Amino acid sequence: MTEHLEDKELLLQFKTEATREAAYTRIIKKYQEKLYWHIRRMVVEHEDANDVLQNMFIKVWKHLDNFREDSQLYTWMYRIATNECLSFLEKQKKRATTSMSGNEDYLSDKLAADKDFDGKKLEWKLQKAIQQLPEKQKAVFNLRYFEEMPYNEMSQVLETSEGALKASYHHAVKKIEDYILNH
Amino acid sequence: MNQPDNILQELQELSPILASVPRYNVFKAPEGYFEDFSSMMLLKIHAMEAPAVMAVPDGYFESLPATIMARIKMEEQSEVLAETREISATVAGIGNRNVFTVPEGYFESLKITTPETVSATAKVISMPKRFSIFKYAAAAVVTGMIAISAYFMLNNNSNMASSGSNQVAVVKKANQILENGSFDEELNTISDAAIVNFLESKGQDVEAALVASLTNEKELPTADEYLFDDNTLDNVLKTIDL
Repeated sequence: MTEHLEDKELLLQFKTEATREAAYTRIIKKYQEKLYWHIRRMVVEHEDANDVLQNMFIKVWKHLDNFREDSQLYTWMYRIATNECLSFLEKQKKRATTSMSGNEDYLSDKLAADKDFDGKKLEWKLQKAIQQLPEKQKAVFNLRYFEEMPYNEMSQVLETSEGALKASYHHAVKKIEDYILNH
Repeated sequence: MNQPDNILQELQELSPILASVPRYNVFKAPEGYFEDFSSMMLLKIHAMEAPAVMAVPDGYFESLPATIMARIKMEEQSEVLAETREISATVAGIGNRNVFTVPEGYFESLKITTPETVSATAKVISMPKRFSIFKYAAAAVVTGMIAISAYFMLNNNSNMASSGSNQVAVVKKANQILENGSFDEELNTISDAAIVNFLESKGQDVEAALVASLTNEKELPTADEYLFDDNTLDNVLKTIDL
C-alpha cells in the first residue's frame, strides 16, 4: 500500500507544472527496470526494447494528466508497455513475412544471435520455447512466471478476465514443457 | 506481486519439469543504461515539445529558379534521350555534349547592336545623301526647262513681246547659264526644300526624277530581261546606288 500511496503523490506532483518534470523523472527511475525487462523478454533485442520503452514513456508523459486512478499507476504503465510490444511485434511479423526470406521465426533467430546464447543451457532453451508462443500468451506467461504478477492485476494490464488468463497460462506452461522435453 | 509461493505452487502443479528450471534472466542490458535513461527521456520530451521552427537553407529562394530550370532541362533531355534511344541506341549512347569552343572571353566582349543604334545611324547617313541626289534630279529637270525656254525664245520672237519683263529676265539668266556652263554653281544656291517644292508644283514625281537622273537609258534592261528574270530589276537598282 505504501507503494500505491507514493504513486498517488507522484501523480499530484506531475499535475503541478513546477514539479512535473521531477515527478516524471521519479516515475521513470522507479519503474524503468521492471518495464524494460518485461519489454525485453517480449521483443528479445536490446535496441528494440529501448525503442519500445522510450515510446512507452512518451505516452506516459502525454497521457498521465488524464490517468484515472481506477487502476494502479504501475498496472496502467504495464498495459501501455504490453500494448506497445504487441504493436511492435505485429509490425515486425508483417515485415518478416513480406521480406525476401519470409522467415516468421525471426524472434528465435534473434535469440540465437545473442552473444551469450547457449542452446544447450536449460534457461536458453526455455527462452526458445517461450518464443514459440502466440504473442499475447507469451505476455501472460512472462507476467506470471517472471514478474510474478497476480491474476487480478494481470487482468487490468491485459484487459482479460482472470479465468481466461489462468487458462492461457496453463496452456502456455504445457506448450513450454512439451518443447523442452522434445528439443 | 506478493504471492511468489502461490505462483511456484501453481507451477509445480502444472509442470514439475518447468518448476525445476532456474528462472535466470538470460538477457543483459548495456552497462549504465538505466542510470542515464531518465535524463535521456527528458531530453527527448523537451525536443518533442519544442516549437517546430520552419526554416529553409541559406540562399534557397535565390537558387530556386535555377534549380527548377535545371530540373526541367534534365527532364526534357531525358525525353529526348529516350526518343533517340528508341531510334538508335548507338547515337543515344554518344550523348549531346557540345564539342565546340569559343575563344576565351568571347561572350564577355560580345557587343550586340540594338535597334536604336541602327535607326540613329541610318538617319544621320542617308538623309543628306538623299537630298544631294535630289539636287541632281532637279538639275536635270531645270536644265531641260531652261534649254526648252531658250529654244522657245530664240525661235518665237513674236511671243516674247507678249511675255512680261520677268520672262525676259529669266531668259537672259538662262542664256548666261548656258553660255557659262555654270549649272552646278547656280544649283548650289537653291535649297533642297525649294527644289522639291518646285518639282512637286510641276507635277513631277520626285522619286522618278531621282531614278531618272541617275540612270543611263542605254543601260536599262529590256522588257524581256526583267519579265523573265526576277533579279534583273534588283540588280539595276543596286547599280544606281540610291
